[in-house]
Amino acid sequence: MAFPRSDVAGPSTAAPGAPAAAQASAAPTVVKIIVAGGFAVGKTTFIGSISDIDPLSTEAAMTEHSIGVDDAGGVSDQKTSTTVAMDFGRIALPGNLWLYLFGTPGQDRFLFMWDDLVRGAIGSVVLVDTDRLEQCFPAVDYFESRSIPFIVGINCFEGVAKHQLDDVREALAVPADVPMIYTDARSRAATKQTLVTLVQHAMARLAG
Amino acid sequence: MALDPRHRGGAPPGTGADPFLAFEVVDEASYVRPYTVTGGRTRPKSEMLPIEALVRAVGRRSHTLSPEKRKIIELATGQYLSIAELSAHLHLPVGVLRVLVGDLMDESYVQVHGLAAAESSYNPATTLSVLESVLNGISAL
Repeated sequence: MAFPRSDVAGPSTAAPGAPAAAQASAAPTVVKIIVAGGFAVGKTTFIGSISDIDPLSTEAAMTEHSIGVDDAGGVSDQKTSTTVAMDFGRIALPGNLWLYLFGTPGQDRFLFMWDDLVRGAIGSVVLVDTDRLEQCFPAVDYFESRSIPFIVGINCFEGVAKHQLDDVREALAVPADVPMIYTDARSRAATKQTLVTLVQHAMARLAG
Repeated sequence: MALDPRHRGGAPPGTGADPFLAFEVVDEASYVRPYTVTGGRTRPKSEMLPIEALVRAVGRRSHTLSPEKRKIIELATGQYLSIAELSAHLHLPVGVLRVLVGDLMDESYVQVHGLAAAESSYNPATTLSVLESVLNGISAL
């Protein structure tokens, strides 16, 4: 599996217990963005279009709640754990920053609880295939209920937008302040613009 | 084509289909077995290492460590690697890596960076200057 690694294979020169910040190779500051969306919506392609490393895959246990969500927002206490395959990539940015992109599935009638994964995340890009719009509902529900910054990226397969943004916004019932854009998971430029839109949105939320 | 609307604040309409068929769910048998390398232990939730926490070996080695722990030290020597990356490279679930890395951290074989978010004292993702750097960095890609 291809991934960059330092040629330096010898023991670290850092004395045990020495403050890492004092070393020339200070630990990068790590941030992450969650890429959510239904099965085969293009999450891994999206991540791969911009990641420094080939997208890697791992398994993460997730706690899921059953669908017993009532109007008052009460959730059934029934929790079970399952594992899902999760793809991710990494981008090194100037200023010793590492940005991780974690792709996680979220569709179907179970509301996945991603508390563990999203803790400390900048926010989420919810990727949408308008042919299977309902697959993104759990993700939208989740980020909305947790007040986590998110944007909706409509993945245009074959570069074709099949629906107007306004129609999708209405169908998703997301407020006007949630950015909604067309994107193309295969395009580095489009992915870049999507991530820029999310970070700008997160900053606006922070400042607001 | 008409778009089926989402019902706000509620669970989406169920399809009646087996949810596990549609999900990218991993076979449960392959999920349980790796926990044998942790002696069946999980780590207390309060000590959960963030999936993006960076691990780096401090230079100590030991032949008495398990092959998995030795592999972690090998991979995290001379570079930082996240729990997620270690999990992918070792083909073990994130939960297993949390336990193994936690052990190695307790035993001073590795340093783990990026725990701040979990401790909620400092979260880069809600620090404006960090977000500005991220924004500028992505824009310049």
